[in-house]
Amino acid sequence: MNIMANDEKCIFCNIGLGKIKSRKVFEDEIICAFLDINPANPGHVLIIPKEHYQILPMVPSDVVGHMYNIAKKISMVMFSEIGSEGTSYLIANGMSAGQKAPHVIMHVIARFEADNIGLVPETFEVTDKDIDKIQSKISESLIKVFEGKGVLDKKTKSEKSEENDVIRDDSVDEMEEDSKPDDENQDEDDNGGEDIDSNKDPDDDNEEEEDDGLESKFDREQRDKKEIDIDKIANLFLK
Amino acid sequence: MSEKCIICDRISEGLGVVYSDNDIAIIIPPEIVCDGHLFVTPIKHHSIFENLPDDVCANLCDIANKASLVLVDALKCTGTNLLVQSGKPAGQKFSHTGISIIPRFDNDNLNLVWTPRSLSEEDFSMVELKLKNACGGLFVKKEESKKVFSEGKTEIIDSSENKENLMIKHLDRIP
Repeated sequence: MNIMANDEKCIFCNIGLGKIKSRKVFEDEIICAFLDINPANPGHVLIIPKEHYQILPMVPSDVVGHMYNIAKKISMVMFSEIGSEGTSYLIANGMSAGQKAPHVIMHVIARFEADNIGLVPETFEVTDKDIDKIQSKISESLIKVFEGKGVLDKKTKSEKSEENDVIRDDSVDEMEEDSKPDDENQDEDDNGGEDIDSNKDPDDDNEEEEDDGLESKFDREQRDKKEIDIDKIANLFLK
Repeated sequence: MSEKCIICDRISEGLGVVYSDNDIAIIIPPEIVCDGHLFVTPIKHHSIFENLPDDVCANLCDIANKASLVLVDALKCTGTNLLVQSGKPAGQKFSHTGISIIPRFDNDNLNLVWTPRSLSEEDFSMVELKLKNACGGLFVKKEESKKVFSEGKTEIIDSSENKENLMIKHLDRIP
């Protein structure tokens, strides 16, 4: 891979090039791994691509895979060499996510029992209602980003849940009813695109789950949607 | 599929699964940090991130990166975090690894920060040296490693590999 496109004003590009001194623990032609100068724990490594990318969605797939594979191996080294008992891997895309510099950085942090450094966010249990709500919100974007491939239909899963005797309360049924007008709105937004969801026989959903019919449905929807502008997102992140 | 794994169960039931290919699924996890939190996970059971084969790991991360775009597009969030919690001290909740994609908004008050600590110059140098030596051993090819470490350092690699295996076995049991 040819390394190009460095930003000469970017500190991390200069670290990658060796123009700024750092405590490097590993580097190859694609990435560079070095110790954070403000570590959360002894064993806090930053991994950066040598080429300048502002946020992870701008990084090519093979480089992303390489970064994580190297991170995984560095984590194993930390288990054996400094006796860590776990690892936190964190990437922040955008200032609101805690990104501090306009260069993709992965934090690989050695963890020890009761180290109390944070990075364990509080969680709460999701309900079936939450699941339906989130699925409704993201379904269109899933189709857009994954070009319909592998994206599962919301109704199909609800029916699957019934098949598996998962208990569903009344509120979930209400959510499903509520979601119907949304589907209709989506069709309107598509400027007169085919009314796919409301005319579909629910019995056909399971049959269509993984076959070409579903993909062609997504293909039709895909045609009417604009691609996501990654540069715009990067600018949004780093306004 | 592993017995009593809630993530394996959810994947096989299709509960909260929004994307699935041959190897990777995106699910809404049983416990979330905020609305829109997605969990990108291998379909085959792997307990910790370090156990993932390289090809599965690369595929997983690619899908995770795209899932981040999904949240930006769908929720109009102004940022995302990709978090892997490997092992109990890192807060891993389920014995099935994956990458959490967390949508972020300005002033959302999510606690995804850490407390930095100051290390002495000596401590820094010690960590640097240990990691550098071991990383050098890990990333050279086996034939080359014999050559590179032919001057009495081969034992270091062998012993570190053994220690890794023990540690991974240990981590395998948690949470």
